[in-house]
Amino acid sequence: MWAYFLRRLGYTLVTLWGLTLITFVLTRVVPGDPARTAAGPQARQEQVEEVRKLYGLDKPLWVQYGVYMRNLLRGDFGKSLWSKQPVVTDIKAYFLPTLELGVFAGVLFFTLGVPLGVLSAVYRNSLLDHGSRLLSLAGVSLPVFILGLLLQLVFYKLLGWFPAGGRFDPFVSPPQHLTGLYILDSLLTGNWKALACSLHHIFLPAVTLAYGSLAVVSRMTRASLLEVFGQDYIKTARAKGLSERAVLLKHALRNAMVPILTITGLQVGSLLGGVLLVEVIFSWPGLGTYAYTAVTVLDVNAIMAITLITGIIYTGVNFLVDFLYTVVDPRIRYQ
Amino acid sequence: MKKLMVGVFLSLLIGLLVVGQGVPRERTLVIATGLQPSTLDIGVGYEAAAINVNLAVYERLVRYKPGTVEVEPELAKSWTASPDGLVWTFTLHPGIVFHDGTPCDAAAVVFSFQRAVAINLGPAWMLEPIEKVEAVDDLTVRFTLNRPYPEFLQVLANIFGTGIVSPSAVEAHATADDPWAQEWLASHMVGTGPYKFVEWVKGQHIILRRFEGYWRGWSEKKNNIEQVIIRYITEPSVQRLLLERGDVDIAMDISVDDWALLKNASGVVLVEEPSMHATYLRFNCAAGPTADVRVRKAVRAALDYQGMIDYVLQGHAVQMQGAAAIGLPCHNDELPLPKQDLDLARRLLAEAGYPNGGFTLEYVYESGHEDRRRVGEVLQASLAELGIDLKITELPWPDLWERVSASDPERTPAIVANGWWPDYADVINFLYPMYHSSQWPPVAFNIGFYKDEEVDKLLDQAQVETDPTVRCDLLKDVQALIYDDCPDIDLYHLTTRVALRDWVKGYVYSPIYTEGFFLYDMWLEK
Repeated sequence: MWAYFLRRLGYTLVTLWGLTLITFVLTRVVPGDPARTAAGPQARQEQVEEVRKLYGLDKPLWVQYGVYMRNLLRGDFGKSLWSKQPVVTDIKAYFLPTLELGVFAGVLFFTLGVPLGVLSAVYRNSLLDHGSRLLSLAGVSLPVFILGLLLQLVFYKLLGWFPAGGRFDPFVSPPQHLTGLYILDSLLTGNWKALACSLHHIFLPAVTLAYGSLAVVSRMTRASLLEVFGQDYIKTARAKGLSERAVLLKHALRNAMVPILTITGLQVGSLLGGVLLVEVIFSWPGLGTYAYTAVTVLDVNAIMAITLITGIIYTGVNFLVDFLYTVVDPRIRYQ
Repeated sequence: MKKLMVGVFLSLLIGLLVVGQGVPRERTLVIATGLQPSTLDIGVGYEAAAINVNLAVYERLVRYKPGTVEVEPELAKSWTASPDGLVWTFTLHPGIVFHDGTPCDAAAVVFSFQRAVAINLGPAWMLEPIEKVEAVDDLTVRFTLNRPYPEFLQVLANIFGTGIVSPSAVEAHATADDPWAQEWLASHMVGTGPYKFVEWVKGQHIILRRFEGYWRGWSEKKNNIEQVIIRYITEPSVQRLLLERGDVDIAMDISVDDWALLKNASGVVLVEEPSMHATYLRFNCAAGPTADVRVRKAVRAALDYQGMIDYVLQGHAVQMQGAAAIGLPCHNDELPLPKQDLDLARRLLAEAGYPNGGFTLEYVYESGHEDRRRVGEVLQASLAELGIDLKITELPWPDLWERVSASDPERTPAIVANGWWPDYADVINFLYPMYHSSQWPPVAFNIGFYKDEEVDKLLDQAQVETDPTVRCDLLKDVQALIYDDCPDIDLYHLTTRVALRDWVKGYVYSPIYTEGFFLYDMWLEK
């Protein structure tokens, strides 16, 4: 099995390398002159040429790519044409808030979605099941930006329970910097005030982001469980006299888990897409806002870095899901 | 367990102490804006987003008097220029200190200009005529120019590249690869202004704190603003919500629809002023049907200007008069305002050999500019009446620039919607880059390949004319000639809209530092 995963890792690396090649070529062949945009709309031609030289954009494409890859292997993504700073510095500042929001939303939809699906399956066609169906229907049909604005209107403007945006209250001192993830740092340093402030701020954007995925996961859990409930081994388990609880948790849920994991892995992809919108609506200082600027000003190095990071996360999550299959269902063997 | 409890208690206590040190909300001014600067470096940044922090943290030798386009002293208390306009000598106020405590003397001024020129990015083009800058003594700075530069004072008052930065801060963070400490100054600021830089949490906020050692002193001021928080709120409707609940004191990006709703809100003051930002439709003067001045004038006569301002812009704009911004010194106030006149348009087209139109023009605008899209549609409808087909193309800015910066006019679209900000209050900042024939693409911004020998000659003279009256006459003549040649349609100045809570006092709109605040003169009455 380890051989399989090693091979998978190899494929992943090839995929990522392909990704660098495609993004590199795409960002260079689209119309527009990155040096001009970097130098600014009012810059004189000599200044534009200076910028072109500074960023190595005057060299042939294959030389640029070679230099890029060499630097990349050293962890250097080049300099941003927009902020004139190393892309790594920018990404450091913008990636952690996105990671925090994404993970929080992920935990939210998984830990709420699966139990909700289980309850719907167990109490099939009850009021709870219908309620959860309605909730899910709303979840998959409400676009993220409308949900976000609605939540702001209700919970900020009308009720005043949650802030309208931002990651942290500027009047409160942020937690001591350990990882850069505010929630984790507050927990590690026992800074409860900062923890409360972080949670207060992350709640609305995370709910907005998680809602659609929560709907999908809860529906999937329900369907998958119902299918398992009809299997002979469940009857056997019940015939053995096992409690319903043991039947559900030890036999049914575990067998129903494979499709749930698959759909969860896929939902991480939609989370990565949705996070960009949610960040704009909630002024969340993450990669979404950075990516938006990078694309509008044709900041080639930043675009490359963002694409690559997104690619790494996505392939990484799928890799993890493949691995988890073997954990929840030991019959699955990779050759 | 006991240890754990003590630890938790201590950390709670420390947490509370740290929080308690902060400035309370009543003495904090919170500004919401969607525009975050790409860099804080005064020698590099060249974007509207940097104006608010630049104006609060850095100071220049001279500045624009609040609310006007008049230059007044700032760090320099007086200055003289030699009769040939080549040598300028400035005397500094004594006793000015930077936020890091070091003195701001002539050497610091020299250093700042040398830095901006050496970096040669963004705003550096304005400093090109400077041949040498030197410290005569502690408080005297002398600039030697390589040509007369009549707008030099205006350039010094502009917000980009001319702020004075602490040399010791730069030297402390310089490295062999980065002698001007660009990496550090991209996210830090050390100037002499009334507010000092505290932190920039990217994507979230910039915090400024009152500088107690400010050289003008605080004792006689009403100012009670100890802290300024500039929050980056990307979504305009959220800015409105925050303003309504009083969580921000000033909102910079209120949408047109929200603006109308806020008019009736209590506790909110709305300030709307015509900006100097100009929007044009620039003709391709070198190729295609628009190479004929009669066709250009016919298009100019076809557009419904009043309808455009009233309906497309919902009244949030004023029509331009000529190619330079209304309100600038030497603006030609006698030029006519174009009006829709379809008969004139038909006559001109017939003279040009197109009695029934019968040709297609391409109109290109930059994506994101909703107003320019709708202007295109208004123009399309008007031109259809003349038998001219207008093809509207939307392009992102880099692509648009690619199309218009080609040196071959055959590739340039017939009409390009284009905007222009003045860096400083002088009409030559409009006229030279956009209408002098030396500025054809790819050099600069004469993107319609306009060339008129008389215009070139007068502009060349105005560039070095040191007598202000003579220079003004030259520039007014240039505006009249340009109006007559119609290389573009001068459309409108959009208004700048700033929404404030009524407890914010002392705000004055500034036509050149549009996005900026003279924080020193402001206070809060809560």
